[in-house]
Amino acid sequence: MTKLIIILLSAVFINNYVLSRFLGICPFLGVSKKLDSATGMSLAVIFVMLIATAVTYPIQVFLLDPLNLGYLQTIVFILVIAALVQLVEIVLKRYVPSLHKSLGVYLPLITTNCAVLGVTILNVQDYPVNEATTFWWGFAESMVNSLGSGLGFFLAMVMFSGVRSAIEGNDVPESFKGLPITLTAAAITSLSFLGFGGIIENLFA
Amino acid sequence: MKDIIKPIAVLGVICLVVTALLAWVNIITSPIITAAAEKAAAEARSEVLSEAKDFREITDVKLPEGVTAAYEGSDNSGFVIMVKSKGYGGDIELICGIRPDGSIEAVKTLSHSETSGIGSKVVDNATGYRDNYKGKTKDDYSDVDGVTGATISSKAYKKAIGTVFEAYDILKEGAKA
Amino acid sequence: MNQLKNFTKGLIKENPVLVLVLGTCPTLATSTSVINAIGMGAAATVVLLCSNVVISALRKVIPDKVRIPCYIVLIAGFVTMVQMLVKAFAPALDSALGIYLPLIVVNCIILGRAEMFANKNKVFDSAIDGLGMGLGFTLALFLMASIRETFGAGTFAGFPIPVLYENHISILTMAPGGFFVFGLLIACVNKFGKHKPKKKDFGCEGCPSAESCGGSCEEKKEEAAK
Repeated sequence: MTKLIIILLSAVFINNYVLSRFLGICPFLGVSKKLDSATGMSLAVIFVMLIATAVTYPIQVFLLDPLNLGYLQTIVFILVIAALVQLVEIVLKRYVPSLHKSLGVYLPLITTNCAVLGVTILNVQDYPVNEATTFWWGFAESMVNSLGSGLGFFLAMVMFSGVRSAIEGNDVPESFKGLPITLTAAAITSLSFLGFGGIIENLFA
Repeated sequence: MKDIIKPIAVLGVICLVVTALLAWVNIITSPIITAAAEKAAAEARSEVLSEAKDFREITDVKLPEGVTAAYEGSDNSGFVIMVKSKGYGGDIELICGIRPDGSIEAVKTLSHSETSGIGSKVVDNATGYRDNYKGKTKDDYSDVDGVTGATISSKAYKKAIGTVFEAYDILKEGAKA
Repeated sequence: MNQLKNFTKGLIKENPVLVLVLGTCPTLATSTSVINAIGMGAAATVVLLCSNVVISALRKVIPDKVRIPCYIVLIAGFVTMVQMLVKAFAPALDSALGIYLPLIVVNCIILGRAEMFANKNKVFDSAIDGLGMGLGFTLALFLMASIRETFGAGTFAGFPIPVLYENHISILTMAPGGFFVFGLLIACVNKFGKHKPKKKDFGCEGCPSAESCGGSCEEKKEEAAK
């Protein structure tokens, strides 16, 4: 149990996908201007990360590994994620229109989001099934890691949209207007996350 | 009708061709990849335990958590133990050779994600930190001083060495019996 | 002459990283050292060249409806091939690039060039475009990595530089340094580039999924409102 908590907290704070692993930078810079769109995008990312892991992890363990088809991993995962996103969109549109209204617009953007493909590949890499672990334990670790990564994305997005609203309307040097000042702000935001390094291990030591 | 079949057919054919190509490349490269990985592992093993000519992987003994692999050197030349430990930025993997008298011959870092310039001083041996463990035994390895400014990486490294000795004790018992 | 222009536009005028702001993730992540940057740039260039050539050759065969899935399959295929070759012949580079090697699949530059250039142009032109864009990507990575490695670690391509080695600014090789150096470089491009600084922020026009998202981006709406 402690191990799962460590995985969760490390994924949120230490190995934060956006701020220390540089995955999912495009939506981080593109959709973080307003708080509500930042929230919507991150909720959609959490959702897709969870279902993508739930589908790709068993595919890797029961299909690719036994058949020695590990080299098809990238191609299979990206296609599965793309199809899954489409499917989720259709299902949401049909059965949960209210949720589709708030998350729907962000779903197609997620297909080519490297954070989602990244989390699925890292999960099968970091939490493999071997003699020491059963499928269900590896699956639980992967799901917790996906949840943590998604929450970390959420945290970074929400924090950063706050930072950006503070920059808005300030007098910025001409050549720094737009992206450069946003990146500088991102640098300072990610600096704050450096402080978490090494904490989690000692929390339970 | 044609509008539905054609896209599916084209996509299917592209998938098949790409998969076939990948299988072909895989057949060519996979022996090279395995050979390269084995060669690198063998080199690392001889580097930390130079006496041994040959190694036998030990798989039938239950070893402490964190130990990823253990090898026994030929002609009672000692043991090589591979350990994973959590550092500042992620896992540190190291390989350590222990002589029959229970002292460390050498330690080598296999992989790490410590901060470059700070924690990397510990794992990359920039300040000679790693060499300080040479010749240490179970009783005096904890005397090695950490690297200033990189407390967490140093602690993680020391903890990994502790795990190495735990595993060594178990292996020694096994070898006697 | 036209071909030359086609080639050089990727290097400077339409540099994918510094001007079009595509492929930010690998740019930030792999520019910690010059060697990694060149390795990443080379891998992406090979994939970009191959995918541009094949997509351009198949542009009349691939039906419009399934073109994006087709492109993704082709790109993922090339990425996996490059990955296997790197693993076999340059294992050190493979472990240095790690997860970012398979993630070339979702690098916006590659899908973007397929969508914006290769499916409308001849094979040779597409090859030139892919090569130019790939080299532009490598150039930008190299530039960023040079700054970060020289000042952040005090080394260049692994060789220590006197004075700087003893007084390096570690933070530059860490995550915040990546964002900061990238911001500075884009500011420089804005300042010294011939074109005017883009008024618009990180927007939809560079995003290959802009079409599928139906312009529902917040930014696009704002633009339309103005």
